[in-house]
Amino acid sequence: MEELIPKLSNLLNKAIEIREDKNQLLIELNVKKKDLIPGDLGTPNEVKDMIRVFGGVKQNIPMEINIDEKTKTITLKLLKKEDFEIISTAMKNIWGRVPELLLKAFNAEPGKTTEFRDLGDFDDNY
Amino acid sequence: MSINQNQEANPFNQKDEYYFQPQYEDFSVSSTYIKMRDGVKLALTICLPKGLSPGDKIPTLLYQTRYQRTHHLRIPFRWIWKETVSHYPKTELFTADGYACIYVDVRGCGASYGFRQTPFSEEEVRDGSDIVDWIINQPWSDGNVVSNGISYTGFTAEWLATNNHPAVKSVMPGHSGWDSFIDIIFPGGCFNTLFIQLWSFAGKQMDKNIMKEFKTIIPNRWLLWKGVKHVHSDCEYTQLKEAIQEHSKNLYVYDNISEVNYRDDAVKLGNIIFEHMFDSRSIYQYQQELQKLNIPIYSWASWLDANFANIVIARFLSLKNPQIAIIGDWNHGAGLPANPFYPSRLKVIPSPHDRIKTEIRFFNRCLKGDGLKSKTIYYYTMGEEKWKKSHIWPPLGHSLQSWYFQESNCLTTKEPLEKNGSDDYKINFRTTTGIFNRWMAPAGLPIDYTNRTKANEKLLTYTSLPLEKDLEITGNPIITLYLSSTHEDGAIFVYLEDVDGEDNVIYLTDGNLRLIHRKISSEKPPYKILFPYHTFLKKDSLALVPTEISEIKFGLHATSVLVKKGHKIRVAIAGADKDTFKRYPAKGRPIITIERNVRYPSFIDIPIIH
Repeated sequence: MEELIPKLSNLLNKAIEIREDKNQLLIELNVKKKDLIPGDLGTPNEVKDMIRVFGGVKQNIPMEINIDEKTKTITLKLLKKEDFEIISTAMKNIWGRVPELLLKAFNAEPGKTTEFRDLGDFDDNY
Repeated sequence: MSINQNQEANPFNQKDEYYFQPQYEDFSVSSTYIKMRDGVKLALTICLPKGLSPGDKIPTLLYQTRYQRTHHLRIPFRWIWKETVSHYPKTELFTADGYACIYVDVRGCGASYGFRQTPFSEEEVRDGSDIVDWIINQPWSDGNVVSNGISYTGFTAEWLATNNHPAVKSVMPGHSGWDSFIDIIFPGGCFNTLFIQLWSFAGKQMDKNIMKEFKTIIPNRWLLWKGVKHVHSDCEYTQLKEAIQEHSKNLYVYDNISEVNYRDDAVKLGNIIFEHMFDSRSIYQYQQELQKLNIPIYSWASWLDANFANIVIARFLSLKNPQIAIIGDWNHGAGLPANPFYPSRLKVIPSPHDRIKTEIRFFNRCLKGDGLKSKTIYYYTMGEEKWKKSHIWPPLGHSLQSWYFQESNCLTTKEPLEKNGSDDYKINFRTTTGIFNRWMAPAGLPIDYTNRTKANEKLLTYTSLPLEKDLEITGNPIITLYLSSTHEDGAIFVYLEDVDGEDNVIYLTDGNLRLIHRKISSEKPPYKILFPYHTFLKKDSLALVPTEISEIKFGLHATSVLVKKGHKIRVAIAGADKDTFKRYPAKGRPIITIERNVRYPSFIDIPIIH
């Protein structure tokens, strides 16, 4: 499936609409995929992991995360303006970072994968 | 030059009315649990072409795996891709051509319930029949099932055929084996420590649905997958958690085999003793079952991947079933090129799309056409970069040409004249082929033997003069060494190599044998082979008598290569492969003496094509 990676950034940009409300310190991700099954939108912990690992935000930034499966919208409510700026910047670059990281992972030599250690761990609890 | 060249010899260039013809643009994905005859529930993912009309009936491709049938992708991946993306482009192409695709977690794995004691257990194999019964009772099924896969799923495709379910019309085992003992675990009687440890570890993590351990081994999977996909109706993951809990009873028999020496050694795990474990779950024991319904088989592998090329040939020779056999120059599963003559090639040929379209053509021909009536083997000659085909093996024009070891590390076609020639070699236990070799290839890694030039400095080598003309080598070389050792045990690794005009060494093939297994059996081998038969049974084992000369004769892995005029042939000998195999003997540093004289002329028989 490596051949899917070059188109990944475009796919993500088309599939997810990101809207911001600077006054309310809100960032909304609206997922357009039609046949999402319940739970596929994600959990708050999965969203935090995505921002950290793929968005490159290593700081622990407090935010409220609301998942609306009906509207297929994830809403991030930041508490401070500075935090909003950090997450906003990360979200502008995230879909470009995803294929870069994935390509690095596909090309990594087994055992020589120290750069992934710095990404931290995913919360894989169900 | 081979006389077998044929313009239609590329199996992936053949297009006719059965070739892939897309009829559907997309596919739906659903999942369910189905109950086996003993109550164990297996998780299935069902992919159907979108746009089927009521009453439409289609054939089914069945795929049974222990590696998690589909995945719960991490976000954002599951916002854009279906859970079947790890199978891309297989599902896309098969459903487009009008097949249903069913992916199954075998019992004790993935989201399925139950537990497993051994790979390919009797229960797991019988489950295949129950699954087929379920499939053919679905409203969209036309009653026909085919099965394919690579590696474990290649095994399960062939195991499915041993059930002789009348709905199973054809199977396509890819990069899979017949003989558990020698295919990957104990090739030549030597324990493949590295791969087995990794495989066992990876299986345990998947069965517990833990992905974090893959971060340092296979980081792309860690990034992509949260774990196995739950059955869609299991929104709270209750059933998934129950199933994983049942996996805690799984046994991992390969954890306890490092002290195994013989094929018939019992393996103990906890309170359970597995007698004849290797052979009882080897497909070669089921040749009669495979031939009963005479279903067509398409089997394929690479010259460079474990023992699987030998098995494609064994299957071709041993089974009466109509067959297509294909052996190419790629890695395990044909995701990457692996041709030692062109190590910097980036893309595999054929592409996965072209390869899968050829698979569809085969199945369509079996299901809708006149089927397959004969056997054909397609093989790629590396170095010549040509496909060839034959209805027999070895191909026409084949003969064995003997090359003898001589003084000054030479190799010639003339028998030695010396009365007392010999060479001593102190085994260097640091010799290695690295980790990108045929024995780690089943982990899906690249295959890279470009280290041979440097590696040869530690080995005992015999090299010919530059060849006066091109030489095609196709088949299994057979080495005969007259050898004595200072120790009672040891292992020999023999590499056949091409040395070019600039003294670069190109790996061609290799073989190995643990010396206590050197007895050549007079019994009929359990399946057809074209090299000496070693049983690896305890009754046939023989310790070496130190300083006494013994004959060591065994086959190297089949290959097809063209060594060009002006290049030299080399035989390189080692006593270890540090990063892959267990050390034999465990202690001491044997000195072996290779005889090369009138009475004991060590030599290699090279299978050439005139």
